[in-house]
Amino acid sequence: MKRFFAVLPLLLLVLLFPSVVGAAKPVPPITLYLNGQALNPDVPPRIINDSTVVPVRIIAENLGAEVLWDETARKVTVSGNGLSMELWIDKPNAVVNGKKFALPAAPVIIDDVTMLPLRFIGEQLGLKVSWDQMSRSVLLYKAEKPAADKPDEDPGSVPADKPDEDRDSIPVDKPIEADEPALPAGDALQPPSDDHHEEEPADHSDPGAEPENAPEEAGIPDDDMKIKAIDSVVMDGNLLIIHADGNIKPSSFSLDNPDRIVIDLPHAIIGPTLNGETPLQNGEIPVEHEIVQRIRYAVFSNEPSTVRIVVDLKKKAKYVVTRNEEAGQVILDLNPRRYTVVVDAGHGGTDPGAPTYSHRHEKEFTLAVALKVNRLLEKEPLIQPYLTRSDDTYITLKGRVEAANNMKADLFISIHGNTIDKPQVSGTETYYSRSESKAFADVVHRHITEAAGFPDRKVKQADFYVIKHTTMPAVLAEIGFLSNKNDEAQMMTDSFQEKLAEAIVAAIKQYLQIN
Amino acid sequence: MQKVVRTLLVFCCIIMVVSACGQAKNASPDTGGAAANGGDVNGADNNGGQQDEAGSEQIAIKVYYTDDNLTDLIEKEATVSFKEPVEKYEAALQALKSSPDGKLTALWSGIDIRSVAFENGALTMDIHIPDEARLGAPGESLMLEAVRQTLFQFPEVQSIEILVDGQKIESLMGHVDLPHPMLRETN
Repeated sequence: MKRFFAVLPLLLLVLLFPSVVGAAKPVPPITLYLNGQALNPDVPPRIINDSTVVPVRIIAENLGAEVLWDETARKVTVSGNGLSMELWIDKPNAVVNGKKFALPAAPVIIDDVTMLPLRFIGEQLGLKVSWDQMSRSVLLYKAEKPAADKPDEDPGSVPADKPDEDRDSIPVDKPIEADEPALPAGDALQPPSDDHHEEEPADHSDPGAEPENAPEEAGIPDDDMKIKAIDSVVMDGNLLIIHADGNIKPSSFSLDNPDRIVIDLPHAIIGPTLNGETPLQNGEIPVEHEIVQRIRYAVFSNEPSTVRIVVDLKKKAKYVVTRNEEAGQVILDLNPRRYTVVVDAGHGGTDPGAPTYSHRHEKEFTLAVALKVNRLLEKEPLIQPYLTRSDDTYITLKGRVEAANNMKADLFISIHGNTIDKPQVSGTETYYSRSESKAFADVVHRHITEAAGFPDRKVKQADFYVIKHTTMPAVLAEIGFLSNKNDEAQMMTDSFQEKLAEAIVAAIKQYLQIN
Repeated sequence: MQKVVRTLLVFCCIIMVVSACGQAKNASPDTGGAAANGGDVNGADNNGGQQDEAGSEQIAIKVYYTDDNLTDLIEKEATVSFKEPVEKYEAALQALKSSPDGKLTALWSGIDIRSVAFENGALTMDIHIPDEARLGAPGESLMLEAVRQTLFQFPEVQSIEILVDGQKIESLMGHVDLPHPMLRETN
């Protein structure tokens, strides 16, 4: 009998012509996950007779089985988990340890790649196999040790009913119907029909039915605990608006490959009507959108009842999820506005600013901090930073203000160092000019005072040019006294400047309510 | 006390030399503006001004500093002597440069007053700001307020034009806009 290497020619073909193979697929892709990790087969899984077939390579490499190919008999032998399975191309039967089994789908050769029925082989190898309709994913769970149990163990025990937060999939808290031997279409690849789902949400429409959750959610207001019915999920421009008959506190995350955004709506059920129609408990909302390919929904968890909405994207997109409490809306914004933040390093060029204790110049300090703030802000997807100067150049105060006003910046922060001829004076102060800047000044001051660790010289009002003539919330921060030996010694260090920059960025993000 | 008077006299002599330069720049120092000044100076005399033997006039004026924590403007009284009316402003500016007590900070310390001229209610001064005299934002703000209040205490002064190295610049020290000129109304 030939060894696994006999399969290599087939694999090589796949490797050599991946694009040819890929181009042949007419159906939406199916994703494979093994213990939560996405697998990326060269040839995408197919659905044949409602059963998933995967390239033999997945079986050999990812599931750790030994695969042999007998050319003459067109037979594949898969060994693992103490079993030996014989399968034949185009034959709907398999022999496992001498015992004959019917296969939901016969092994096939597609584009020169041998495709084997995943669930049958996976389960024989001791893996838990389930299908998630919502994400069109096959979820494989491999036990740490090869399972000694027979693969046809009580289906009620698998998989775990704990949601896997890292994936959009719904490892539903009852085993996928496919484990029933009576259902040969084991992968349940057809769209879910009602008989796959009991009417669970009804059990949870009464908040009193969840006593076990009470201790850990004791701090949550009653309103949040109430089950809200979602009655519409609609796309409006770049906004996906989810409406319910109460306030929902959403949580969201994104996944890639394929790109998608997952929004979980706790204490919620799908309402009796959704967008005016009778909903499935696990369905799809038609959408035609530049970025959005599909919107899927399902009851994801029952304790508490949580509705999960998965937005499949055609391409990566920045997004924010917000809510409008008054309107009972959860809003996914796929074209969120980026905030422009102007970072102004005081002085520069011919204007050195104040002299420092060790005979350096304020302009060095301000630039160093501004550059660090800029670098940190550049990492923020929702913030577009702008530096009034990025080197030792003099920019007029008017030039700084006009730059910020012309670009309709959202925030302006000017970095400075203070001085007085009394060497003992030390501390941090933050200035605003217009009353609309007061709140920003308060946030900035709190963060920078803590980071600097100098005496708190408070938030003050003064009509300095750049904070007076700008049209957005603007502050001028006098970080410390360059005339004070200790303040100056710290202010001129890289570590202090870095810490300060982080504090400034934290303040900006807090004010803009990012994260 | 005598020592102080003598110091002041020497000081005034220096100012006269300096002011001569300033005066030289004025096209017509003795026109209507000067005549108007005469009356105003008499007004200043009511504050207790006296004519000394050298023909100089001596008056008490208010000068502004900041406290030792850079928070407020502090008003102090100083006595200045002058012969020509414009010397009064020069003397006031010189007083801004040094504080009478160690607890106060003279915000104009280190600033070079290159010239002062006065005509038709418009006071024009040319200064130079050495790098070591530069202040932070609150210092600059207080410094401008100090000169504003010090010079506008003279009712004849209607506007103050501050030039730096002969130029009208946007801001003295990069924080506060410098109006050209500063007007009494905006005080």
